[in-house]
Amino acid sequence: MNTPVFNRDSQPLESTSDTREFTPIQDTFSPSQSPLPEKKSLLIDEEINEETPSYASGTLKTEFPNDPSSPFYVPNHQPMSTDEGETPSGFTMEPSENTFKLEESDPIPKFEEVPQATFKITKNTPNFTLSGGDSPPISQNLAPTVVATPIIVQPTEDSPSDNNMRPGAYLRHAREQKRLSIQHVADRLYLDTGVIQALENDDYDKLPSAIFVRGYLRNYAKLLDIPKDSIIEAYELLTGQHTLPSITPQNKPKAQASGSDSWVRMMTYAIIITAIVFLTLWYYTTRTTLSLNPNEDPNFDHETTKPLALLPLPETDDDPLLQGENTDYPASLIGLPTNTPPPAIDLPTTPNLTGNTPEVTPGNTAATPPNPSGTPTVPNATDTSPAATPTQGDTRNVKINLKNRTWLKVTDNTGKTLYNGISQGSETLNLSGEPPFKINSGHTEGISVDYLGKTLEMKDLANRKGNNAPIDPAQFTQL
Amino acid sequence: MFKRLRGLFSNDLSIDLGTANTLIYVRGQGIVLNEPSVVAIRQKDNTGAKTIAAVGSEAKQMLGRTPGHITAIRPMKDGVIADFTITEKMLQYFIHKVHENRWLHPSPRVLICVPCGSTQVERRAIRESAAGAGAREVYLIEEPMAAAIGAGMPVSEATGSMVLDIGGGTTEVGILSLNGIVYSESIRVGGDRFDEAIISYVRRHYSTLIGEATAERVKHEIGSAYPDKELREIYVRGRNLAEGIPRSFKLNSNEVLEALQEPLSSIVGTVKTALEKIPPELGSDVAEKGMVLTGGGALLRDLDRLLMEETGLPVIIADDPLTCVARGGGRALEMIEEHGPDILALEGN
Repeated sequence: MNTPVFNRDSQPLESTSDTREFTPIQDTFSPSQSPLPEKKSLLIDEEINEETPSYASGTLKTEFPNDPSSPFYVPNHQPMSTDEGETPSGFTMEPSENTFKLEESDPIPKFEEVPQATFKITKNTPNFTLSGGDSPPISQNLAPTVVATPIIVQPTEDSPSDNNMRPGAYLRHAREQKRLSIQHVADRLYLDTGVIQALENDDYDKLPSAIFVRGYLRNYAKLLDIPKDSIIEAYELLTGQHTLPSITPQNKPKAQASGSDSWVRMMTYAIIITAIVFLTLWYYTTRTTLSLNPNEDPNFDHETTKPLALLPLPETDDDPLLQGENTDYPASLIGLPTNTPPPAIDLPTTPNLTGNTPEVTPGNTAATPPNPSGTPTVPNATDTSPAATPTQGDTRNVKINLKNRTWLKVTDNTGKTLYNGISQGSETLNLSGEPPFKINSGHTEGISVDYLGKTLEMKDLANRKGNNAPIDPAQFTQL
Repeated sequence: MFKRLRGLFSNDLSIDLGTANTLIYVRGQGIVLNEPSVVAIRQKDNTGAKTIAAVGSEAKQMLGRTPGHITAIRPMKDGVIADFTITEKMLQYFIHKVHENRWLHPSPRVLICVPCGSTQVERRAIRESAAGAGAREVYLIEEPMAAAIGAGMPVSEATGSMVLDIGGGTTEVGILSLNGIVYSESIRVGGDRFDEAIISYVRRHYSTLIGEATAERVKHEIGSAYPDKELREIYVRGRNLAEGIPRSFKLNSNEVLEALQEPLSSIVGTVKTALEKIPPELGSDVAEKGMVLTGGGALLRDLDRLLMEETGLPVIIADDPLTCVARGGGRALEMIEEHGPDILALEGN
């Protein structure tokens, strides 16, 4: 195949300087009536078909004006035969402002640099009646066929759309150059003659949808050996359709969320900021509560703490009735000395005391246990005066010796916390409160309790009684 | 729930899971991936554990040139899954590749094109492969439908449209009307069979063995489906069976045409059968407008001319035939979004 020559600076081919003499068709490219602005020059695709004899019959006149201001001025161009005065009976290619765009990979310098040639093909083509389908060459003149294919089209605003280089006109022109009839083309393409006519008239309403039209145009161009792409481009320019229309959706699909969407970002920032704010608040709140209880070690594991001992027990009894009795007990003791407190019976530590009556207690050194509250015993142990003992609100001292580091909590009867914190060990705590006392510690080893003059190891108390076991003050007296 | 959330950040995909190439169309973005369906697997010597060495074009270069511990596999054969696990891995790789999001696992809705002749088992394999690769919902569309939509044919109108999709493994012919398939037929002849035909021709006539890649190159460069006045030639190298030594020899386009006769005649036969079987009204529509060629096989020189001469109908080649199916799948996704999944005869979840 011959590559089309797009020349501006290149020397014209030898063949272009041939005298083109063809008989019937007279195609004249006349550069006259050029409405074009200043710097434009001719760009002609000259397809030289040397192997095949030319079927074209007509005089193709290509004029290259010498006037540089002319739109068809070609630098370095050798003037060709200029047969002035011939009446154009075939196509009149007039300059117009339409430019065909070329995107072939041919060694065109650069498209931008190429001034645009513009043509208008008016459709005053005479109706050819060609004899037969494959018409033999009418002219035996083997002069190279010069097919002027103006394929650089870029519509400018002021050009009326009629002046476009229409693909149909272009095809018709090429077909007539090849001396092919519509019927022949239709036979070769297996299309109706009506379709071919519609294609040549650019009457796309009569044709099926765009994909078929494009296919027909391409097949037609292939049959005529003209570049397919230029036809398709001309068609696209005419119809405003671009390649692969289906790939761009007509209605834009609803955008899907992506990480770069503004609202997604805003949401992310909002969530992060909220999280930071909450974390800070939480941190400071914990700090404040800690500072309120400076003794409490926040790191201490309360799970491991074992409530060890209750000094005296009845508080821990599950029976609320009993507890109620307990609280009332001292008063009732005063008023009703015969009242035997039932809870004392439960105490395994005081089996000898069961059945003891309060009356006995004052005299009995060990008889204090019947008082579950333990209060009466205290006076017995200390000063043995029963009258002084049983009032609530009485405060007693308890001494706790700590050898090892441990957490310790001591509460008295009123629920007041006497001590709560970590002791580093090797210290003695002197606490005073209202008995009975309740001692919880995390580590029983090395804690001894001095109470009512007796010393008991916390370990023993815990072992014997288990968690929350009541510790009877009697122990202190007995042991 | 979490899948839905991830789906919010994943783009809907349409995948043309072809024997030769896999194309992925992302809604709103167009075709973002076009890679050969080839996976290279590396096997560790000591443990025997298999890892993916390469996927896509990189793996394709390895085809037929791998050392012992690497195997280059084409997991799709004849349009359907031949190796389930590898296909899943390949899909996973491709889906990840089209999602730049690194920290969130993509969970897209996926529409996959399947050959119309594929069995339930084969469809299920594709569906599960895609689900295993992370798809939230999997729709299957038959390839002729996708190809016709992608080519821009008026499938929704009450007029017959005939499409012939020649892929790597299968050739599908479909006549469509009103968004549905009136008639479809699939034969397991495609680009691969063309290559095989060239290989066996060369072996018979030149006693020389050539590889698949060479055969493919021959097909691309001088292959044609219809005698052309211009004779093209190519030099190829292959192992001479008699001498056992690689030799160079010359093939011309007529020989390739002769080699391709058998697969071509089965394609022509399928088209003719389809034209016989469709209702006359649709047949007249097709005869008036012509049939459209899509798929990589449409790029075989003068295939349209062959079909035109054989059937007497106009035959046109779609724009960019290689991507028609993927584009059609993408358009189908948009149609689902606009009109709901009932608009097309899809197989949903």
